Amino acid sequence: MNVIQCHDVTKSYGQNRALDHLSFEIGENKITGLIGRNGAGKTTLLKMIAGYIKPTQGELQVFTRKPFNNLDVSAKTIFIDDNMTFPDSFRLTDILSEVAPFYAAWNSSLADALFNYFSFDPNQAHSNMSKGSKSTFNSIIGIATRCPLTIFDEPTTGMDSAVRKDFYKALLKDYLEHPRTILLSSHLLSELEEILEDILLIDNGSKCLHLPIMELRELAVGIRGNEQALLTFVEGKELIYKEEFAKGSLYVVIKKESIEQEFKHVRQNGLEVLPISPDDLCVYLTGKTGGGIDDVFKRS
Amino acid sequence: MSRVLSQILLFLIGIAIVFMFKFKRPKFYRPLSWKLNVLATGLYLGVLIMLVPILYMLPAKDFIKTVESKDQAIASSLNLMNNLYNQHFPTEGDLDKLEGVYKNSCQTFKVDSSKLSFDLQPNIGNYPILIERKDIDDGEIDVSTYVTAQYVGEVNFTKRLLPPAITVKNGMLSLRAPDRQTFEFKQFNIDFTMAQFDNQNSSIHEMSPHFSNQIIVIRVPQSLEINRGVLGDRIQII
Amino acid sequence: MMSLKEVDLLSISIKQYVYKLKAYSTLFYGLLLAQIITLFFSLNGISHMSSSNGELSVSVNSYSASLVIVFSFFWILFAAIQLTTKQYKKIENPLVTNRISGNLSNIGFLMTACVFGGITSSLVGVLLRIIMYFTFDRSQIISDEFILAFSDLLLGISVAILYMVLISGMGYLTGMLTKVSMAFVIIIPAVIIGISKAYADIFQSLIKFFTLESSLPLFALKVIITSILMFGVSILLSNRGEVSQ
Repeated sequence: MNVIQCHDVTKSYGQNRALDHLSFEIGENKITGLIGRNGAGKTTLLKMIAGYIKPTQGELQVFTRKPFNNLDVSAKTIFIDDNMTFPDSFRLTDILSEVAPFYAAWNSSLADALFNYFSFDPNQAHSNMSKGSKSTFNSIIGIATRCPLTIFDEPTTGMDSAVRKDFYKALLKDYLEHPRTILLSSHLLSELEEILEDILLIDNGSKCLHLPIMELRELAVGIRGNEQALLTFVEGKELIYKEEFAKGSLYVVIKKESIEQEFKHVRQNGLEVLPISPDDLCVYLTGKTGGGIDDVFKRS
Repeated sequence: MSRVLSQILLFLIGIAIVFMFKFKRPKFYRPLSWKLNVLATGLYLGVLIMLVPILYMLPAKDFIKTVESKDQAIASSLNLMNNLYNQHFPTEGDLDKLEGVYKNSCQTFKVDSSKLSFDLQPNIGNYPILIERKDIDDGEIDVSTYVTAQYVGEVNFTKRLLPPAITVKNGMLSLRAPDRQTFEFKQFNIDFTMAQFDNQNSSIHEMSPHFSNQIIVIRVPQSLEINRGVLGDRIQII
Repeated sequence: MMSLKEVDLLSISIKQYVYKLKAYSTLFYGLLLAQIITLFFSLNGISHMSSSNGELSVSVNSYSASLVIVFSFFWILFAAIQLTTKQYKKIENPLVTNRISGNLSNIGFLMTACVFGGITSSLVGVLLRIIMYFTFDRSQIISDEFILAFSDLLLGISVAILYMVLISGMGYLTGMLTKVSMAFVIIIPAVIIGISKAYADIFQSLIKFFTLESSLPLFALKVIITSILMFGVSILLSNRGEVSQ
């Protein structure tokens, strides 16, 4: 049974298409990372899943219902981002105790423990917190609600690296004890990688790939070496990325399956095979130009 | 002028209150917790409710009561003044019985001369002075002053009017009007929310005044000679 | 798959109502401030009459707590408009909500505010009388309406509440219309001014429909039906489409 079923969904704002014929499914109790460049449509998609906005076309179902303006879906979903607004008359502790009654699975001892761990001032106003503290606080709500569908939109904005690590650890630990469907969006895959099961990469509103993170790690390799030798080797094959990193030297990223048989030739030609991190791969997959930022400087 | 100013000020304050809550609070603002807000508003409501029994416990005896028979009293006093104008003069006994006419003062003087002349201020109100001869020579002059009903709105405050100062000395009756009197009243109008269902179309009352007239009745011994003097047309001998 | 336990609209609306009552509690300070300031202005009297003939002068100062009620009406009008603004709508986002529960809880909050405003604004009249009792020369006070019948006080409270309900409905609907299109920000005042100028009689009879009703049950019926209509239209308007985020 799928928690989220997204079929051919388009969301347009005037002429602009934020999401373009997007289809995917997300199964129950999976942690999925939604990865994409700035403006790829991540937030639009997450808000749509959370029921804040409506798809222009196509069908989106969350818990087999259309999420927009749906109370049942809202009760099972929590959307955490840094725009969450709480009343000025609530101090931080008030927020935790006032939000609690809405969510059936809310765990207040967990919320309090996390609140104390991150040493928040109970009397502070939410609107006065720094960006990082706000993100941390909102994440506590996200974890403690234990919603069947928990959505984090760029949860780590402004957090320092120690807090980030703590957050991911806390999320993972609580997930293992109380499995639920979690969607995390980020443009930084590297820090998420450890906890993700699946990855959904979108680019310009369309799905780029959707697969388990293990498969993504095995998807492609980088090959480095002499320009001539490399070009003859990869001729006729689809390149994901190509970069001239020094005079006469070339670096390419290529799907692993396309060179499976010729693996031994690589060494013979003096070429070097390098593993490629999922993070880099995602950047290459969604790259706008073949050569990356270096091209800009070469031309000038 | 100050009333207009205060009204403008009031309006501005109203606008300010309304917009105060539109603007974002400064960053350093520490929130008033909802608990404090609820406490403050609850306290406010509680104090106001406590005031209700207090209001009903306050003795109301000092206030000015209003009377129902205003129209009748005014009609009767107008009628009296009309009669005086038409030379129909009532006796003191008649005045005592009339509605809307009140005895203001009553003095008795010893006759100290065989004549009685008058010293009247030319600038005071046009009091009719009625002179009644007694059947006997008792050597006493009785001076009574009467006022017709004095109203403002529904309030009859005739009894608060001071009588003119009257003295008789060496056959001379002098009459001095009291110092200019000032009366202040505080009228309370019920809220328009109550007035709408209170058989009153307007909650603002008509508070126009109705001014009184004074009548002076002098009863003199039978044989006393009356000298009307220069302002004698005010003096009528019945 | 975990079971889809249905959530009850009413219970969610009530939870939201409690949440909003605490959340918007700061709004009540505006009412308190308005009432206290207008109370002090009311101590000056609302009108003054004086006249004299040669010998005596009479002056009458009129006092009334009506101004307090009028300003409380202003407050509820703007409170109702504010609840429809994006800034206030945003606090629903972290909660379990849909449009209807959001509106129901807003209406619940407004009704509470109306009851609070109606009671306090009428009771400020009691405070005004007590202040006058102790600070003014009592022999100058005309007892007539200064002595407040308890039944009149209850009447005043219920009428003030009803008017506030009506006004909050007007404000809420106005706010919702401006959410549909910002054009209404211009259209609504234009229409009001236009009608009041061109069709003065219609406009007046519209006002008289409420202000000249002298039967309390009929008045209550008129106010309740009109308010239900206005809030109903507001809910329908907000339920139509998505609000830009």
